Amino acid sequence: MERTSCKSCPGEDVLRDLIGGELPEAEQQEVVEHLDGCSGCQQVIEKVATGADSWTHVVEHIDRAQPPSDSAFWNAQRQVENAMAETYVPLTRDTRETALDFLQPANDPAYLGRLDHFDIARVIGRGGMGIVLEGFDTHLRRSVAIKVLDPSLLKNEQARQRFCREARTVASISHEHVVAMHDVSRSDGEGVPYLVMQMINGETLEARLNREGALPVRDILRIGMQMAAGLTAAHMQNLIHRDIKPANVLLESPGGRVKLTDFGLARAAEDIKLTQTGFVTGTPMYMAPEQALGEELDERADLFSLGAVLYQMATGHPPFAGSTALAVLRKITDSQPTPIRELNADIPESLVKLIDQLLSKKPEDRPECTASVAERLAGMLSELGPLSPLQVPSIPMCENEMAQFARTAANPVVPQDVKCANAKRKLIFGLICASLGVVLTLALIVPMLMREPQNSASQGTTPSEPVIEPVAVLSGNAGPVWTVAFTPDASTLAMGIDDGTVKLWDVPGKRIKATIKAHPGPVWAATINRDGTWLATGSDDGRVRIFDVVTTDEVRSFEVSGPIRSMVFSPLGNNVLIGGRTGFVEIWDAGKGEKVTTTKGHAAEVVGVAYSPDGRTIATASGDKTAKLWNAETGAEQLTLSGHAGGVYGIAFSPKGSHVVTGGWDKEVRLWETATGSIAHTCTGHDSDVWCVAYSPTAPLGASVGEDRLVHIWDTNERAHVTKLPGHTGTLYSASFSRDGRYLVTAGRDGTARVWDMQLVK
Amino acid sequence: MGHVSPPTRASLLLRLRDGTSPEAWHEFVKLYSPLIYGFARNRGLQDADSADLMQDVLRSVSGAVGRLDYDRQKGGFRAWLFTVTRNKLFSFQERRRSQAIASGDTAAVEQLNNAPDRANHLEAEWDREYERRLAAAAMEKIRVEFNEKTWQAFWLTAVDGLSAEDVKERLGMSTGSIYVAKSRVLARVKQEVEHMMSDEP
Repeated sequence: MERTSCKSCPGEDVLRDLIGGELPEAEQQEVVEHLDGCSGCQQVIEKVATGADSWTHVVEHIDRAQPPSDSAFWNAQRQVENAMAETYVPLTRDTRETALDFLQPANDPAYLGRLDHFDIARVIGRGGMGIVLEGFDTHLRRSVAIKVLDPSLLKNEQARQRFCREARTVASISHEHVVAMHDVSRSDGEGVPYLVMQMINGETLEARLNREGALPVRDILRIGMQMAAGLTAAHMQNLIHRDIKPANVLLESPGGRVKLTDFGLARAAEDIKLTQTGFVTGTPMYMAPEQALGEELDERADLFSLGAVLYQMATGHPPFAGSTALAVLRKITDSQPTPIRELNADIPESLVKLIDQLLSKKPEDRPECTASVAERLAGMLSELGPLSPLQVPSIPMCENEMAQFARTAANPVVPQDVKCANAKRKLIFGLICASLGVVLTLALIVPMLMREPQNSASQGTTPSEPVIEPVAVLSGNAGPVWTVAFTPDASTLAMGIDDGTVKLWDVPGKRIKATIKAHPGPVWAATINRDGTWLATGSDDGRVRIFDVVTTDEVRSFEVSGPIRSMVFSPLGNNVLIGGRTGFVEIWDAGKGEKVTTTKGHAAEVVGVAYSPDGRTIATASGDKTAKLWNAETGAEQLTLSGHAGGVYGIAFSPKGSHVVTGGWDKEVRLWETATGSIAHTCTGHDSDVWCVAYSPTAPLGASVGEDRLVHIWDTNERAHVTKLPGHTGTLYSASFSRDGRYLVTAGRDGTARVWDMQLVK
Repeated sequence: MGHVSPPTRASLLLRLRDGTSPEAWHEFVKLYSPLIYGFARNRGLQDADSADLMQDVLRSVSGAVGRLDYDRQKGGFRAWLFTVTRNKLFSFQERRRSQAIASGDTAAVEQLNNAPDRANHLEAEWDREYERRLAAAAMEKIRVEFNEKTWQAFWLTAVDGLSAEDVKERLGMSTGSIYVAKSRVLARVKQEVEHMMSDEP
């Protein structure tokens, strides 16, 4: 089956058309028949399909690249996903500039920085007291968790010393259910104090409770038993935890072994905060009544908190909840929680009794020590079936227990207190140790590529109308263009570029007039004022810079509340509306460099901002899945526009201000009525994220752009697509109309800006 | 809202940088975790160790990607992820070596010492596996664009490596149609992979 004769073999262009589905039916049949017998053409068509490089090796046996279904991979994937979703918090100004400024620059670019001999890999979490980092100990070559105390909490030297003293006591506890504290140190001997702790992979009990609500009885008993054992070890060192709560109970993976953390630190933090504000902050939900009342504490406060955590594991809810901290405190001191059996009838009576006892208002009514609690829980657990030796904690005798033991030994007449006998020994002998039943949670693997077939192959887009060419393609920019803006006469375009520069283009001349080095990082926002004299730019450095459009000299610059994600000039004067990466929304007078309006802002980054044509209302679009309308003068919130299924990235007002249009992650473009906040229309047609929307100031036309690289033009009266303009070769981030509505400019990742004549579209 | 997000969304990294989208994390993990795991496996690590290493890398990335501080001049995201993965791999192997020395396992030490310096190979291999991972994701995404028969023809010949002759009766298709089907899907996969790569910062 040689390539029979050159004459009868189709050319590569014919094969290309065949692949693209563009060959007429009759011809297609002829070529396919030829392919049946011509091995030469069989090879050529593959080459035409994927170019010079063979793609055989890329796709061959690609199904085997998937980890097998019993691999540890699936569990690990689930864990890392949960962990990241949980701990990932938006960058705030604090974390960027204050909280991490104690780090030395990293030697290795893969790390955030260095703290003494620790390479810091990432921020694990943040709490009221400071920040937890993942570090790599370069001396001992192991991963550790490093807790760095918020420097603002430790302003005075006395507080720092007290903190270090407390922490050293904690470091003396060594127990399998307590997170090991390796070291207490201060950077360069005198700087910020930090704790070096064992790195635990897993999740917090809080995360598990949030996800699952009430837990299976077996898990409640095991977790409770291990918590009690860990507490016993601390109580032996005369250390009270003071802040037992689900967030301080880590469940190590695999296996779910309990590790208690933040021992005694609550006290150190309280001392410090008290000296600063005179008021204790934080969640009191698991606090003992005597603690809530500010009385002297002993170990029995931890017993109450243990009871509160057990209660939540049993019922899915904390025993005392309220809308304010004060309401919770009153409940803790004055009222009884809902009986457990009313909420969960599956909880055995013995456990209910123990929890009720732990939650006694008077310390003397609670069980005497945590060791006896561990023992009772172990007893209940062994009744449910065989226990793994790995689950059985070592429980040291607590102090009263030892005293009692001594008393008992010295004077056999004193009735034996079985409750507090040598708990550890009883536990070990009392348990039936059996093989460990491993329950493997197998991740469901959706069989790849097994979906229902749909309509036949569609290859690219075939525009039905003649292709409209842009009147100008401005390329040669260094990297993605994040933002574009016309001057009022549309003769000049400002583009914010990824490399920190702003380029001013002469549009008719299609040449760069000026390049301004504006910011150290990507220029997210560039906007030109009403009379075309000023250009304002914004970036992650949190600084607004104002330039003279003609001379490109800097007029002034000022720092705002955080990193800037979006910005636009008011249609009236020289105010700029600024949306931040941390969610702030504020208005500054660019003439004076003064803040004039503050709002409550958003819960996530503000990607799009817009002014109503009359300048009285502002609109913001945020990653928190909402858009909001605000009074431009007072900053009061007027409406929240909810309905997008994901982040909202673009927003624009209609020329009369009666509507706003939004677009975002969910691929939808929505039209809202500004008077009521109701959705007037939802436009579909994007096949991926929408990053920017624009409204023509003069014609009933809208534009939306995004990841599908097409410029979607809408008829806003008919609420239907007019056309989709192809040409860009990367995701589009910005679209803007000229003031007269004649031109639309679009720009994005491909580094070009394209100017479209709207008269051609109409 | 009933939206099913396709398995990869090219502007993923931008959303990660903005830092508040749980969906973005989900997509990110789904896309890159099999790559990192597979890379470790192919370097001889055991299943559990590879899973650990994958977790480790993604945790580091989660801390750093928000700042997107990798040097974009040096090969962008793909090269940066490689650096992080390679360093974790090296420190894992170093740990294993110390353990082998401590336990007196001379054979293992020998073997670890003799591992050739393959830094250049390593990066080339990474690039290849990276491309395969994107291709797998692309295939998942474009699957819906083709009818069952076209897809089967592609799968049996390009993925399973069978010849058109072997499968034409099973599919009830002519040899020529099988080649056309295979080429069409391949062209589309390649286009999608290029699309994904060009959108990476």
